[in-house]
Amino acid sequence: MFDNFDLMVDAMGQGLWVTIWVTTVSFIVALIIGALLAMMHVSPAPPARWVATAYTGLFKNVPLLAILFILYFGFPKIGIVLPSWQWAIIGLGTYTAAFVGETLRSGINSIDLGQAEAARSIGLTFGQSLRHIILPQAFRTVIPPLGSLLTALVKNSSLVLVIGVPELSAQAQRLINDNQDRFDLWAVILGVAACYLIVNLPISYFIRRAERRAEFAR
Amino acid sequence: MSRSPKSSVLFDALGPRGQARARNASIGSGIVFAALLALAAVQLADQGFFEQSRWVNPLDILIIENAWLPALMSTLKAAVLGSIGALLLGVIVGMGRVSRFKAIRGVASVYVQFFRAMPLLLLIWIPFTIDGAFGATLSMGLDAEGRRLTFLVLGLAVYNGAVLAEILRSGINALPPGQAMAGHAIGLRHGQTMRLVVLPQAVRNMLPAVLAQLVILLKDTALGYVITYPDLLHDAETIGRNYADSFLQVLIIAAFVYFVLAWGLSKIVTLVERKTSRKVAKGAAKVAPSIPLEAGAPGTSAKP
Amino acid sequence: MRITRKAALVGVAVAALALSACSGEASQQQEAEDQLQEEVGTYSMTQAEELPAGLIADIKERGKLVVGSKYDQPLIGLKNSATNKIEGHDAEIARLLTLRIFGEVIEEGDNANLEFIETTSQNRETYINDGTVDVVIASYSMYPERLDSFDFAGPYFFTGQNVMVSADNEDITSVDDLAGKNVCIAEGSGSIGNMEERNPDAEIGTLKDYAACAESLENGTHDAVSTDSTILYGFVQGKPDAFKVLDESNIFSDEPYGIAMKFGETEARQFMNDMIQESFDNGDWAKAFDLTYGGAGMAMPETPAINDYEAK
Repeated sequence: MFDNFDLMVDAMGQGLWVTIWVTTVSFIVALIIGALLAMMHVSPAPPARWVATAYTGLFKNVPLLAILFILYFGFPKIGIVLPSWQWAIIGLGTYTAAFVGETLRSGINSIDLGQAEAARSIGLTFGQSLRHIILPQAFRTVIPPLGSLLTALVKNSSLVLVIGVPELSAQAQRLINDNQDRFDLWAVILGVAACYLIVNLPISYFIRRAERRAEFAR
Repeated sequence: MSRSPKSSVLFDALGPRGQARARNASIGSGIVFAALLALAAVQLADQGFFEQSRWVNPLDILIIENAWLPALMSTLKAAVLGSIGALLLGVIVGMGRVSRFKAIRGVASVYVQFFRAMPLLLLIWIPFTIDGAFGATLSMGLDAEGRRLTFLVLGLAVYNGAVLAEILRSGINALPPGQAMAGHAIGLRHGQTMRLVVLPQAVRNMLPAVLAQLVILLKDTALGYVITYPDLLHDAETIGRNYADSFLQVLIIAAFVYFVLAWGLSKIVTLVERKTSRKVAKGAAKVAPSIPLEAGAPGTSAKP
Repeated sequence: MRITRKAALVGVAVAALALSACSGEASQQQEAEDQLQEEVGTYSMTQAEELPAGLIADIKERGKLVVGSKYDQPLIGLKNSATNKIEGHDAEIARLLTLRIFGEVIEEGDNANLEFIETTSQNRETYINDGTVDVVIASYSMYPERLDSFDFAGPYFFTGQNVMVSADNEDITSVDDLAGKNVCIAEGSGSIGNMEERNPDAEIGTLKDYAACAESLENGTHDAVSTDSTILYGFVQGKPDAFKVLDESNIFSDEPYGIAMKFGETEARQFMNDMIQESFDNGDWAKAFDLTYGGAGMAMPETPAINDYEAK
């Protein structure tokens, strides 16, 4: 169980670290693009709505794996050559952004119509209504689904091993398939499961707390 | 929809100047966008991306017959079997989640928490590897292909079962308690109340969310890649090896096929949603976006 | 309405795709291959008179030899998408072994006596141990340390690890130049350890297989790919304008390809060694070479010396 324990912990620790920062950066990217998308979804200009719809439709219907491949192997051909971890972030970020956009849009639409009417009736513009009245309230309802998107992102980050990013699952694979059988199978499995639980369970816990608080705030 | 979309309230209908501005902005950004696309296209053309042979080779009728179609069938097979497994597990665990007995609720809760925290990739690959170390399925007479299908389906079923269990629980909880109470009031036992009053309505309520999850399951069959299950994406790569020039082209073709499949299924889901949006008790909330669903898909299917 | 219009658009796209599926190179390639096969001729390997107990007897009883092979290495083990046949030198060795055990090779239909299973560098060891395959013939090198875990017959081919770079790359001319460069190697491959030993300063990145590495090299994401020369040769042949392999003097490891099987199958191992030696002697090995590497222009090397090591 504990053969080469320190080597194993070291390798998985590195993997966990990569998973965490790739997830974090991707999530930030997703939030930014997602917010833009949400605004385009509810925008007055039809072309903006079409683009947002097309973007969302694309990423919801194509597997993330295929998207990562096309990014990693395709874009260098038009001159954009980046290391694999950057493609990982771009792929995860743009993919998750589609869902973030949808979530934010639902959040905006879930605010009672009266709020928007009230905002308009005191003379606020589209942008001001969004910023001062709608979005702050939408924010509260939107935290739980965003939290679950973060959980999903942590899990999706395991996919970037196919473009060579040494994240947690990649390390686990490498340890288990190690050519010299230096590591115990069960130890690695427990380790990697524990790592994902450590990351995802707290997020779920906070989602549930936020959900309960959101109920009260109404 | 019963109320007008928020967006039309947030802004006044645009007057002529506003319309002109919107039009100009659209045209302007459209031009920029088209220019970027053109730039990319020129770059690609330079590298022979659009060369006909690169696209035609992977689509040779022999290859369609011997590679694409079997791969498509494998993908669908895994999706269908995975869905059946997920539905079965989802119902069992979901009922466990709302059981009267605390112990059962606890076990179901642990199941859901655990399997929703793990990446699907590991849920597929780890049992496969464990089995590899102990040869369990081999003694059951499964060949390599069958083994891969088994573990892909297992992973998909276990994971999506957890998600469906959550959806089921939300669906049941979303019904106003009056329904169950009414059932008890007319003398139905708990089991009967569930079967005759609660479940039919709950199922109709959450059908769209369940079907949407199954579309996600279809996309997730691509993860068979890690145990070299011959699904669409994996076989596309193999074709790409035969024609090194077409590596990217086959990926795009495969992505396109997935798109058509998933999009088509979503459309069917929307149709089903429309057909079943009656016959539910008043006050029953639709399984709503606040339910944390999976692969980042909030409960509502995309309204295009 | 909107649904039908979108559906129509999608329908048109699908139809266009289907219509364009006239014929690509596949049929022409088939003809060229058939012609090569005719030129080379058939094998003269015959069924062995006596089959030893153990693995070989099991195979004979089952009626089928299950071989783990690569599906993604040109000239060595590549699945032809048009015919679903596995082509390459490793596959030919598998066919010779089948001839030796059964007297004939039937790859299709219910009576098939030869089945290929896709193995990657990562899972080939697992597949031997759990019995998914009888043997692995997949550019698998007979490293001394591996002899403690598996039995190897052979070598049936001898090569060495080298480095492949872009055809227009002037910076990298030797293995030492790889310091600080991105080198792509397939996951789980022994080439990783070799490279780490030879040049610890090279930045090794892994992808699933060498085809992905080659693509990545072409894109410029990696600076080099390093593995057995035979594997690299296949890629250079496919795209001579894109890739080149460093000069032979750079070869820095010994890669004797062997047939791998479960540890302790001494009789089976000797049976296969006999088969390989027979193929050297009766010209079948040369035919297998002509069909694969030779057909791509490689000069025929000398046959390797069989390593009949003491059972451990």
